[in-house]
Amino acid sequence: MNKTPRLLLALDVLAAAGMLTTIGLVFLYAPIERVMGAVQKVFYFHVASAWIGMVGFLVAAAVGVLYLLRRKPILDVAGHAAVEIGLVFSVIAVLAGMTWARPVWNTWWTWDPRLTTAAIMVLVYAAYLILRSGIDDPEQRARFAAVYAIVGAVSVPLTFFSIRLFRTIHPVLFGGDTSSSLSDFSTDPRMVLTFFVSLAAFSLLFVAIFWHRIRLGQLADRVEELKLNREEQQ
Amino acid sequence: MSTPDTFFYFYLGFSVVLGAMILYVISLFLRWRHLKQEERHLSEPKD
Amino acid sequence: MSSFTRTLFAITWKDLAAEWRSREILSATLVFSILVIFIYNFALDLEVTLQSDLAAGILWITFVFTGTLGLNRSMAMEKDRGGLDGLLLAPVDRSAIFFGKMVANLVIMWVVAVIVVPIFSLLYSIDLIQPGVGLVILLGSVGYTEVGTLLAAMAVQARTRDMLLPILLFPVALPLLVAAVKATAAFLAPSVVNSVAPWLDLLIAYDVIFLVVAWLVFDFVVEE
Repeated sequence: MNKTPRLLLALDVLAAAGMLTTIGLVFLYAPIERVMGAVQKVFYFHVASAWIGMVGFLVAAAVGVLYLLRRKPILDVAGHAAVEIGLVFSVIAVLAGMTWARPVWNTWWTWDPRLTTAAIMVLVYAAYLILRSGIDDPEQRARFAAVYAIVGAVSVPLTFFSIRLFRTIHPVLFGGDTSSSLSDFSTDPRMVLTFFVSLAAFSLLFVAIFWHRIRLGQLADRVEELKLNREEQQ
Repeated sequence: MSTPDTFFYFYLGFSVVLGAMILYVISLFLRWRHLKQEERHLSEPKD
Repeated sequence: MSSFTRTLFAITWKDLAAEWRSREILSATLVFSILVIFIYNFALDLEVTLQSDLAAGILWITFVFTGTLGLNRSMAMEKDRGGLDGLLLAPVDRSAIFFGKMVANLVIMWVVAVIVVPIFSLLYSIDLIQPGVGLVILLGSVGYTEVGTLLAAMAVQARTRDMLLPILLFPVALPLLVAAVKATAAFLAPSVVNSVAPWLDLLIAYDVIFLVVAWLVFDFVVEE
């Protein structure tokens, strides 16, 4: 269990290649958008990160359901991994969104439905991790974490709809609707290509990191067990 | 209307994204190394 | 009446009877909610006549914080007395236990609402005693106690039990809060712009969805 499996190494290389390709496309190939200028290119990273953030949630919930049904420890490790990675990418998405908002609407924050929902996803993710840290019994911890992952995942679409409804009835006066700024998007094929490449690269990266993180979690569990054995012997 | 120069924010956003990802991957690596050390230490026969 | 329903009401009755004897939760949550209303007045330097949007917001923040207190206490008392273990030994449907506790929590929330809403109306010269507002409080409190009871059952097992419930509950209850506040405001100041229907739909959707989720998942929470 020590050597990194070759498939994973290959995946790592692919993921790195994907990211480099994306960066290359964003810097050199994608055109500069007329209205907002260069900062619009943050969009390629922002959306892909947010997408991975959501994927993390879905995976955590799915794995949570499986855990409750099957009780395999690897499913708990996978759930924890998915949440941690989802948290990182959601935070990245929020930060990227903020650097986008600043020059375009002269504010670091806008209560846009997607940005707000991403921030709330961060809070739910963080709550999951805090829940895990508060329960000592591993079996109970795994069960509760699975339950909360499910509850959290169900709440996210509801949160999105509620905030979007909030925004359509109360249009933001000072900021702007982020979707309206993508007018060039559907017409320029270079933008579309870069966008899909970034989405694919981030997805690949997620799988690679997810696998690594699961291995890390399993190692942590093994160390935990060794510690308990030590204590019992003493 | 000319296209505004927002390169600074693009570089800022990009650095944040890339920087955060790299930091996370490094953290994974460091945690792995630390746990490996602990595993080795705990697997040694008790003296 | 099926055994499920009988169990449900038996548990609700047990909880409410216990609460009636001590009135611990009721008095604490009542005092707390009035304190919150007062604090908001001074923190926000509110005028005597409150605008409907602001009133709706403050009312629901009060309910949310007070509700958390009640949920926490109710579960903690159950756990500390070992009542839950006894219930679990009994040959009853686990989800009946969940719904029993949920209804008890709901009743306590309503009792608080019935007392707090008139006081709020009095202090801020805004008439909250309307059927529309009552409906929103009904729907909102149902959703809140559904998720709250489920999460409280988990939170109470943790070391950090007091802080954990709000941390778990608030992000997940957000759509409920948004819908409840907007619906209340829309009832208080009806206009073409402020339509109530989509918010009521959202509230009902939330209530139904989480009823199903909680019912499916509660067994796993109280497993031994």
